[in-house]
Amino acid sequence: MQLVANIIVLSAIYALISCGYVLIYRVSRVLNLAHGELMMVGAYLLLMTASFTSNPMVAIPVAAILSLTMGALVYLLLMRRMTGESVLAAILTTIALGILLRGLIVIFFSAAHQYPAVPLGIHSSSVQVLPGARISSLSLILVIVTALVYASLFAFLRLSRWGLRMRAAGQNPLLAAQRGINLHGIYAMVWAIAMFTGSVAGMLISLDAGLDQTLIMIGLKAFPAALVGGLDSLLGALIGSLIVAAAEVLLIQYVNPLLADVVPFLILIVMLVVRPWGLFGTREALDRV
Amino acid sequence: MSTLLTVENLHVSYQRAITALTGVSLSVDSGQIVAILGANGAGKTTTLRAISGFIGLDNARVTQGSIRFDGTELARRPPYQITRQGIALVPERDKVFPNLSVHENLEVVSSRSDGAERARLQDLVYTHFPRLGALKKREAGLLSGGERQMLALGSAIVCAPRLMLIDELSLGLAPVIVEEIVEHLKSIRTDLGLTILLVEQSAAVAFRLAERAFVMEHGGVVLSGSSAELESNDAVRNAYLGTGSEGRRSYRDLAMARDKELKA
Ligand SMILES: Nc1ncnc2c1ncn2[C@@H]1O[C@H](COP(=O)(O)OP(=O)(O)OP(=O)(O)O)[C@@H](O)[C@H]1O
Ligand SMILES: [Mg+2]
Repeated sequence: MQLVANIIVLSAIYALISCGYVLIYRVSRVLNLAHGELMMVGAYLLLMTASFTSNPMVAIPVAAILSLTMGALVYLLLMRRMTGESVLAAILTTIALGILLRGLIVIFFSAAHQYPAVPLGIHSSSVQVLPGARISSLSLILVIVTALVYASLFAFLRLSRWGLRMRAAGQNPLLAAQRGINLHGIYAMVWAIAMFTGSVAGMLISLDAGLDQTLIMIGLKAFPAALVGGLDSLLGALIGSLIVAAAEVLLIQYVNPLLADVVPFLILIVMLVVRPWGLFGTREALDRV
Repeated sequence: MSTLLTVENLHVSYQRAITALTGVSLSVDSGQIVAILGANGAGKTTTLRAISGFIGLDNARVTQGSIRFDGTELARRPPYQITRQGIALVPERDKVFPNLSVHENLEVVSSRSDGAERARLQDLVYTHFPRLGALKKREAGLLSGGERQMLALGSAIVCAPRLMLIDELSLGLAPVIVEEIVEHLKSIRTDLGLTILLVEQSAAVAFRLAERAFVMEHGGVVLSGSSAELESNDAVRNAYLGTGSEGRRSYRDLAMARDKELKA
């Protein structure tokens, strides 16, 4: 039972992070390899707001709004210049952005392990979720948040006018523009949402476990989850996260704990060989990576 | 009748190297249906795309010239602004969103019109193309060529355009379908007071639908006139209708024919 609970928590973490990869890829065909760093920046934004106020009901929403804004700015100031350039150039730009952010974080916040939960007075307690299984209260919140985020994303993409425009822009950007849609607005919005969901994940993880640059590793491990499901499918990201998390937890338990950081990428490689477009992705989607 | 669209001395190049248009000039009066004819590669598609706005995606640029629509300069504006000014394009390829349903395709617009206006235009589309009404929930990627063309026309109409640009109206369609589409297009034009500029390979269809026509060759306009004038022009008959006395001649002869006319 404890194993099941652990798998659910870990897959919720991966799912909350990997939807950012999927959203950006699906709408603009860009693979955002700075997603792990952006997620870490989100967590540091919380550390920053926590130094101004000790009220988590202020600090967390303010940090979340800052991350939303910053996501849009990343597109408008940087990625916007990459439209019309090759996809490879765009991906390289995200890698460079990631490295730059790592450096800036060390300069502004130091490389030390820090705890945003302390100034906010948050103490994680342990709750019984299943018979014989306990998880931390923050993990429980994370699972609930992930469920909420996915439910709203599905509803947003299926039912709202803006969601429809996003799907259209992902399928044929030029035609979307000729239907009166401002592509830069759509892309800025999707970068903002991706950074927002990633940052929420980063904040919740760092409230539970503290914060330093190793957070990027978790962001990177969510990438195989997105790819296993198929990079352009949200449902795929959800199921891919479950698969990667289950494999990781089970192998740690029964084989060797040192495998933790290796398993997701092992799955990634197997997947790329067997079915590169993922479980739920469209086959042609990957041609454009 | 007032002039709605004026294109003057338009130069366009792809990838800064391939020159596709070398000084196209044409004008369209409001309320007219105007056709562009010309050989493959003459620059017809490029002309329509330049009017509806390029986007950085395939590195095409207007290097010279002007496009004025109802007094506003459009060259080098992004396509979404041009659509909101009232120009809608039915492209040659990739004209619908394949993974959206038929109805969703008619919903994806962001135009000057409000929700009520959009609903009215959608109704108009469904009345003129009842086949689309029956396929509302179908994914657009699964439609036949004719249905897809109707949907593409429909989604351009929902943009509430004043000028509609149609690239290759009849390409790949059975004659009966073309007939049907042409009839509906004519009556929609009257309903909405539309102006239409269309590219058409079949001169027979073009002359039947359009009041005026421009003939393009090698990135420029070589002939223009009313449909009746062009239809009786020998060079045009030879090149496009295959009914001249000397058999089919090369398109280049059109330019010579025009020069002869000018000298005469
Ligand atoms: N995306 C592109 N990149 C580079 N060159 C292009 C591109 N599109 C068109 N061209 C070139 O520009 C010229 C004009 O092409 P255009 O598509 O406008 O012709 P067209 O008159 O529409 O021909 P068709 O009747 O075959 O559709 C051609 O020489 C073509 O090779
Ligand atoms: Mg063409």
